[in-house]
Amino acid sequence: MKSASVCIIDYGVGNTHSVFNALSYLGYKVKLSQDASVIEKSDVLLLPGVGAFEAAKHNLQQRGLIPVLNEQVLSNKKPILGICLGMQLMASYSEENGFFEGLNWIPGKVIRIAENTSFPVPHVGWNQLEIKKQSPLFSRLNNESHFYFDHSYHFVPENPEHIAAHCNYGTPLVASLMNENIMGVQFHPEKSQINGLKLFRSFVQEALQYV
Amino acid sequence: MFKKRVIAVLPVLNNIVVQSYGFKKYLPVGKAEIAAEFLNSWGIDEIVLVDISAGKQGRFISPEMVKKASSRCFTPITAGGGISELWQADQLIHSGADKLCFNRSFFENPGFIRDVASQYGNQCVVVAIDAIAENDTWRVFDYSTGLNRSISLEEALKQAEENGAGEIFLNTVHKDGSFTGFDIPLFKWVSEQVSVPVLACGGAASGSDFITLFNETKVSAGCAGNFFHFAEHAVNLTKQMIYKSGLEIRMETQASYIANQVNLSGRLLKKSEADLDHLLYIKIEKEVI
Amino acid sequence: MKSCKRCLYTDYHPLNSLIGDDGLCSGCRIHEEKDLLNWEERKDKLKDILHTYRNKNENNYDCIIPVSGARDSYFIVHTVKNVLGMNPLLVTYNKHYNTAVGIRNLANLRIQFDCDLMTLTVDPNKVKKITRSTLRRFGSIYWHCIAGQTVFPVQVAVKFKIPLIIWGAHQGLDQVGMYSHLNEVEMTRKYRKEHDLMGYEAEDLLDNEYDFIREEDILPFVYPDDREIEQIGVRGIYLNNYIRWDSRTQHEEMIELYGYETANQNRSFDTYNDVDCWMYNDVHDYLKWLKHGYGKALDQACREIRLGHMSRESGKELVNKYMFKEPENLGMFLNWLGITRNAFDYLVDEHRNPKFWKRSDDWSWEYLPYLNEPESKDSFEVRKPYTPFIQGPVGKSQDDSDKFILIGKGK
Repeated sequence: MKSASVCIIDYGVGNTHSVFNALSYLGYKVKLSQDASVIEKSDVLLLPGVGAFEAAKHNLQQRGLIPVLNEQVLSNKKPILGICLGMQLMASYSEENGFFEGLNWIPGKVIRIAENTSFPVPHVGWNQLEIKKQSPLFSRLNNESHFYFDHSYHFVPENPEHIAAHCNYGTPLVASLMNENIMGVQFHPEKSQINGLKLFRSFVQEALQYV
Repeated sequence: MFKKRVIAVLPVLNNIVVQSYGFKKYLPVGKAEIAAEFLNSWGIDEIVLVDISAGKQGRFISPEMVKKASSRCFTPITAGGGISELWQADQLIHSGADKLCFNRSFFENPGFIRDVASQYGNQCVVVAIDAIAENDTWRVFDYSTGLNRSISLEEALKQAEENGAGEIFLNTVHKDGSFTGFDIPLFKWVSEQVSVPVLACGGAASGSDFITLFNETKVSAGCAGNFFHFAEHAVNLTKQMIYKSGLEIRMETQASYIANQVNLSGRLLKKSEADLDHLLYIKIEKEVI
Repeated sequence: MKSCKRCLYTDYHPLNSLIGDDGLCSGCRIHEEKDLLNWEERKDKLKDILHTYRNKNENNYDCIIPVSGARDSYFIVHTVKNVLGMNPLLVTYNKHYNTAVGIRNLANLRIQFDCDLMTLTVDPNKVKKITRSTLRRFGSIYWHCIAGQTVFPVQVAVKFKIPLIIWGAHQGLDQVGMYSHLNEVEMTRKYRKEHDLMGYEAEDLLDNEYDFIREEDILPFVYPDDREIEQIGVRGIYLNNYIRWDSRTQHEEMIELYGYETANQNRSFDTYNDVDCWMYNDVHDYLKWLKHGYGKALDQACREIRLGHMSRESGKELVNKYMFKEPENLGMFLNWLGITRNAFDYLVDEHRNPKFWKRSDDWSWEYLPYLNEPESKDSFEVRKPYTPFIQGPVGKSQDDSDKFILIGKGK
């Protein structure tokens, strides 16, 4: 399925460059866009994100992206992968620097990681996963694979069935979520060297068949 | 399991990566993008790319250079050097920097750090402090003047954390380019002072120094600059030494060197003749992603 | 452009030279180590390393020595085999631009030292195709030579399970002080890609639009995989980290001991180093002048100045004498490559460095000098007055002496 078309949603929050690079390296047709027609025509979607929740949500709203995303993702069941802040946006709300509503695609909240002297916050560096659920993301990976995390807030879903993988940082933290066609990862596959590339490959190749 | 990190520092002077000795003497190495490309293939955990002449020359690290470096590198890059305004931070994040590093601008205006943290999240903010040994204690060094700052190291660490630093990058002027190992007493003390991750830098010559650092202090990462450029797969060999000592380190590169031996200085040793003879009959398959 | 106060380099150098506040370039500063280090101790370090690689079973070579027959080939083999008692396998990449003198020197090398020699001769059609591409893309006719010379020893190391490769001088350390002798820098693929091959490895030459270079064309130049390097434990060391390097003196010793043959060069005063190549001190150096504003004569003058064999003034004179000469063997090259003079000029003009070249009013090219005066001069001691390089007796062989010799007979 090298001919799958991938759209990275461009809503002005950092580092789409690296995600774009990773997918181009794998040979896919990638577009970085905020254009509704491009989003509609693409086979799979990526929602990256670096930064703070408030600005991200605001940008999505301001660019009028929420209606088309809701339609493509909720009605048309188009596969979408949220990365880091992108995954957090899929929550019901976030408590980062205030109280902000999310897209509510995966019911749950985003709250600060509890302070712990042995495990300083932010959770930054390489950590392994405990895969809980079969997901198109992990078909080329296993519990030994490391990924790069960098976050101070974490996602707590209402329904534990939505958790695809945990990571251990003193206490279990959600590393990956899945609600049918809606997938998310707290870590950065575009910055996780070979494992990240394998994850992107799996996502694009298999998400379509899975849905 | 969460791992300790081995980080490469790439100091940049006049747009080329250099070796650094005592914050005074510099030897030219080459382009940042080639260094990043190879560090990535050697399995480095992270890269810190700092333009050490930018602040003094009234400019900030080139977004173009960051873009080129990050385009060949699938591991995080922290960019720093003269960043003093939000639009500069914005350009750098959009050019591929995953985190930003602040030294002089933090000391001159800690409020700026707070602004960056609220815009991008504190996980994006690294405060860099240069410590220098003086008598029985450590002071804060100001690279732009070559003199010590009046603020104490303890106070500087406290302020960095209060103003939203996600990580502290602590360099040591007295150890820079000395190849005598990390300043263990300093890093032991610092890692107890703050509750954010500490990245230790200065004096590493091989994996042995990282082993001592991780065993005797609570820092999250060890950093090195010069010696990663000296031998083929220097990073892989460093990690191999750390791994074999029993510490938790990520070993996910193609060439792990686990079946090889390394001497105390971190240089490769010859495999036995029996091993080499045996290899005449083994084929290596290329991995396709 | 700032100039070093001791040698002739400025802060413009393809390997990046840094001029410190004291007015000295990084190359000169590292060169000072030559008179400060304990070379006896360093030679012992070398012996220790070699000792661990010596084969006890005698069922394989102890190490690989890349040779060309010219440059430091004789001195390296002499040191490693005759002085330090190792059993080397010599390997050489056929650079195609061979002179009869070069072929004789290489044959003589093999004979005098009683060594086994493995040669890689790539099909000329492939080499020409690649050279047409490298000339077009980055103004180089030497890419294939350097690519072959630096990859063939590594391929042989991997295939024949001989981990140690012994090189002579590390160019980055030698010219711009990229490393200190104390760093004991070793061979890396990274240095090769960036500084030897100008950023282009074999795979980067693949092209479907202009030059039609395919996988099979670049196959001989492909670097072994990281895992093969790891599996064998390949390591490339440089003798100049352990031996006080002085290439002219070393060469004169080799002329004396083994009859190494010298030859006059068009664009340089050094009649020892590159006698094996029709192009190196000719067309290739002319291209260096266009791209970087100076030629090999300047590198060699800096080398001699730093060793105290020449004053800065004499160096300048020599550089000015040789740098402006037109290439004499361009016709030979154009014939070989199959392009016209016009095509060559067109391709090459694209790569002239605007720092040093500009079009004058009558559309001819005007050169803006590289050599300039430093703010202050160094009173560096000249230890022995400059004498011209030796021009020894000319040997005889059955090979033609007026064209590239692909495979020669030697004596």
